[in-house]
Amino acid sequence: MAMMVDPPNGMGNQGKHYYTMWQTLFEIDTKYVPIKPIGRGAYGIVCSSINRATNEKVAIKKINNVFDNRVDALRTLRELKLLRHLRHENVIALKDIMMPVHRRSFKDVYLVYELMDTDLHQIIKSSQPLSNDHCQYFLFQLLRGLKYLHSAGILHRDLKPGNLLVNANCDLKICDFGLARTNNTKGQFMTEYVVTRWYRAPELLLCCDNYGTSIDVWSVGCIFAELLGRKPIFPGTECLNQLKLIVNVLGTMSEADIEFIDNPKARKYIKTLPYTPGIPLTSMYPQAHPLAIDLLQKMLVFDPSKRISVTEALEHPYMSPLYDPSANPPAQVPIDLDIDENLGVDMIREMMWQEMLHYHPEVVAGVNM
Amino acid sequence: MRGKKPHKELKLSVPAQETPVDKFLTASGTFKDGELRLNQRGLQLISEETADEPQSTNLKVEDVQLSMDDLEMIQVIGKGSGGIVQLVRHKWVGTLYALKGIQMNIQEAVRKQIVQELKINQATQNAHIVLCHQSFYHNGVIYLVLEYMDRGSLADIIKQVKTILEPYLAVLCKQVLEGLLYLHHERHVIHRDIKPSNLLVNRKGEVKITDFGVSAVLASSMGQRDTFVGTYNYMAPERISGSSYDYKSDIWSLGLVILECAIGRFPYIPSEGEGWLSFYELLEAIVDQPPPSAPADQFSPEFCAFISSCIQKDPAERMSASELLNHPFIKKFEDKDLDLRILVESLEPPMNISE
Repeated sequence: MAMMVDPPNGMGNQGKHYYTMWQTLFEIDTKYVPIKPIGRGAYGIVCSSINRATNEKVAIKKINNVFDNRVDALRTLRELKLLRHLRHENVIALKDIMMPVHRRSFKDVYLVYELMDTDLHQIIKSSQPLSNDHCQYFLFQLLRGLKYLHSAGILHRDLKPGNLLVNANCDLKICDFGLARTNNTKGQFMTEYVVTRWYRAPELLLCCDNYGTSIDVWSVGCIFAELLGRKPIFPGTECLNQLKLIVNVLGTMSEADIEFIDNPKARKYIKTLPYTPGIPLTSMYPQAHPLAIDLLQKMLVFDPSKRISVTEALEHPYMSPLYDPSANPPAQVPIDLDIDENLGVDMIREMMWQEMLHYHPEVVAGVNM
Repeated sequence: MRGKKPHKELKLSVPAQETPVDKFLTASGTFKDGELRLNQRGLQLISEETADEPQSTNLKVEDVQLSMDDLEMIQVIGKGSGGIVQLVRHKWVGTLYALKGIQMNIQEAVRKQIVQELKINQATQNAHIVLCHQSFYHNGVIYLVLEYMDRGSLADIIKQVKTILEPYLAVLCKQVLEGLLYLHHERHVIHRDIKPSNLLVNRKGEVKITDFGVSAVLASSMGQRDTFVGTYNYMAPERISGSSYDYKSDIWSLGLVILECAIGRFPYIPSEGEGWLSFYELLEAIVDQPPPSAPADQFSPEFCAFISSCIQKDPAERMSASELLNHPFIKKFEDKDLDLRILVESLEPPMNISE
C-alpha cells in the first residue's frame, strides 16, 4: 500500500505531498492520492491513484533519474511528444505530466495515465479461458488502434502483450511509445533497439535497411498466435535462434520469398538453414476458428511486401462482425517527431519542460523560472 | 462511433497481482528471498533455525563497516549492462569504490536469478575478478559496491596505444586466464561477455574481469532487447550459430581480445576497410571462414601458437584455461618479472565519463 510520509530532509515543496511505495519515494501533486503500487512499466514504478479534482482513477508512473541515461531520456521525450497528439480509444491517454519544482535540475518525471486493470501478458498467462469472441475483440481493437497510428505515419515498433493494457470489460489500449518512430524519419539509420525479440519481424532480424508499418503487423500476428495458443509462438533465445523458429513454422522459403532481403550475406544465411516443410497453423491451434487461422496466416508472412496490411486485416472476414468501414478515424496530419539524436541532456530536460507546459497553462501564465 | 458491438458483453477476470509485494519486500524495506536478506545495511544469509532472531552468518568483518550512508557520490563513471556505475568514496576511510545500481525487477523468474547471482557474488574471491565488497537494496534499486579499477578498461588502453607488445600481452593473458580458471573450475560459471571493456585495469597493473552475475542477468532480462552492433563480435562460433556452448566459448572471446591488442584492430575487420562488417558478414566470417591468425612475420611462434590454441573453431580443439596457463607463450615471460604497471602509468587515465 502507498504510505504517506514526511518530506525528505523535513522540507517539502509547495503543492506536493510524499508517499513511499516499494521503498520508492513519490513526490506528487496534492490533487493525486496514491492507492497502491501496480508495478508495470519498463523504466519506472507505477501506482494507482485518485485525482481528487475529478474523482477519476489514474496511473502515475515515476521515471527515476531520467537523465542518467541519455538514450533513455530521449526515449522518454519522444514518448511525451507523441502521446500529446494521440487521441484514440485504443491508444493510452497521457492525462498529465507533473511540473517539477526545479526547471533546470529536476531528475525524476511523473507521468499520469488513464488507469487500466491489467495487461494482455497477465491475461494470457492466467488460467481463465478466452473464447473466440475474446480473441476477436482484442485483435479488432489492436488493429483499430494501429490503423490510427499508421494513418498518422507512426510505427509503434515494440508491440507485445505487456504493452497492451486491458480492462475487465475487455477494452484494450496500446501503450509504451518509447520506441515509436514516424515513417518519414529523414535519413536516420534506424539501427537502435527495435521490438522485443520474440515479436520481431524477419526483415528486422535480417538487417534490412528499410522497413515500414509491416513490422507492426508481424508483431500483431505473434500476439494473435499467443492469444490462441496461450504461449509465445516464437520464443527465440538469440537472433539466429529466432529466425530458425520462424522458418521452422513457416517452412523453408522459396527464392521469391527472400528476394526482399537486400543484404546478400543474410540471404545466404537463410538459404543455409536446413529444409523444413513447416507446421500448419491448424495443427498448432486446433481449437481456433478457421477464419482466425486464415487471418493469422496472412499476418505471419515472411516477405513484408506480401504481408497483410492493418487496413486489409480489418477488412478480413474474421473481423466483419466488429469492423465498420464507415467508422474510420479521421485522417491525421503526420506528427513531426524529429528529435536530434545528439541532443545533450540539458536540452532534453528543457524540451521535456516545454512538453509539461502543454498540460499546465497556469504555469505559462505565471513567471517562468 | 465505436464500430459494431460484440455479440455478448465480454468479461475478463482480472488476475490478482502477480506476486503480492509482501512476499519479497518487508514494510521496513528489506528484500527477502529464502534465507537471503538485503537492505540498506547490506546482505545477510539467515539460517532457518535463527529466522526469528536474524543475525548475520556471512558478513566479513571488513564489510561490517560498509553501509550506504557511508558512501558519497563523486561522479558517474559508466554504464554497465543493466545499470549505472558511480564512483563513490567512503566518507570516513576515503576508499574509492565503483557503485553499480540495478533497478529491481518484480518478475519472479528474474528475481530468483538476481538472488542466485547475489549469493555467487558474495562468495567470489579471486585476485583477477573485480571484487564485490557488499550489496544493498534501497529505494527500489539493488546496489553492488565493487572494487574501483582506476585505470579503466582494456578498451580505454587500446584506444591510446593501438597495439600492445607480446611481453605485456603475456602478463595480461596470465591474469585473465587465472580469473577464468577460477570462474570455470571453482564457480562453474561461464562469463559469456569477455571483451575489452569488461577487462579492468588498475594503476598497479592488475587486470580483473568484471560484468557477469547480476549485471548479465539484468541485461538478458531487459525485454530480451538486443542489437546487432557489437553484441556478437566476441561470441564463439558454436554460440553464434545457435549450438550449445560451454566454458571454452570464453576462451574464444579471450583469444580475439588478445589478437586485437596485438594487431591493433578487431580481427574480423578487413585491414583495408574502415567500417564494421554487418552482422551477417561477421556471422559468415566467424562460422564459415578459417579463424583469424597472428601474422607469422610479425609475431613469435609461441604467440602465434597461443592465439591458434584459443581460437580453434571446434571447441573440443580449443585449450582450456588451465592448459593455456602452461602454454609456452605464457611460460616464456613468466620469470622475467614483468608487470603492466609501466604500461598503464605511461597512459592517460580514462575519460571521467564513458558513454
